[in-house]
Amino acid sequence: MEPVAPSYFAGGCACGAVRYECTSTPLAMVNCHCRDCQRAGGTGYSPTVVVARVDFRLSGEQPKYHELISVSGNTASRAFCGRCGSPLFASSSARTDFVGVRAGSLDDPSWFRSTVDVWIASAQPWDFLHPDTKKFAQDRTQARDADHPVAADGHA
Amino acid sequence: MRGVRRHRRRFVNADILRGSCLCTGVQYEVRKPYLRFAHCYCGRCRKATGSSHATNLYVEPNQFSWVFGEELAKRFDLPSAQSFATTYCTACGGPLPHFTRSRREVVIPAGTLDAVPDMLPQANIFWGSRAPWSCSGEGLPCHAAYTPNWR
Repeated sequence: MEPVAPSYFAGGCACGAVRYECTSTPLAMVNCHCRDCQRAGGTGYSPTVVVARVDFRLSGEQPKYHELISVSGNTASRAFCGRCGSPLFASSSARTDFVGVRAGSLDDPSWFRSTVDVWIASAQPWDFLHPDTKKFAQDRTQARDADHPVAADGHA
Repeated sequence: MRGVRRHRRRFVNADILRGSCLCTGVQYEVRKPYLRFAHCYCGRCRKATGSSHATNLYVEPNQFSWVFGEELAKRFDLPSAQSFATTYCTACGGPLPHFTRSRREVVIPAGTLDAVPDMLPQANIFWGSRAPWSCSGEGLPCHAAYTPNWR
């Protein structure tokens, strides 16, 4: 049985200095394969829990923020711990009422289930793509990724 | 410094690969031979990357060098761990290569590479700690902790 996303959850960085909590059910769960998300985590993609900013609160030390104009043309602000460097969450100038939390930073990430993979045009051949999610070459406003079929072995 | 990132997806048979953090303030080079390439599913890698797993390329120290920006790189040694460490850019938080505490190897987060190495990951390590939502990792041998020949 697929797990149900909780209406309360918390998380933080590797060293515990920055903590966050969210008091409502996630709005979406997305894997992003853009190069910026790859560099921000040093990995193949960012598993992202999209939550409402009004229900998202920080505690402990304040994170540091880095802003970058993304390939979509929007400004992405990414939060990370100033002590241990863990990437924590990000927001886009396109939707300031949303916060995208990196699922690996959750205290209990077991309920995370992405339904969508975006920016798979830049997905890495050394990583995997979930076989059952909807795939988009770029973001969800773009055409479905019929031109970039996923290989049988799960590689882009 | 380049402000535009290039989306190169081809395998590169070059002897030298470059990589950088997100803001490109720190850049490095890595040279063949590579020791190994592996996905790690441990909980510490999850916290450090914010992802389901880390994917790291390993080289000996003399195969690695900083190109510029090393002064922006900051090392974090997890106090509760015997060996776990990361290095990241203090300007953007982006992960960077780090030396193992023994300084025998350099661990390169694959997402920071500018191009694709001509080697694919050979193993899934710490498979027992894998998050249930992580990708399947099919086709690769899975190890409860390190591979037997890790070092």
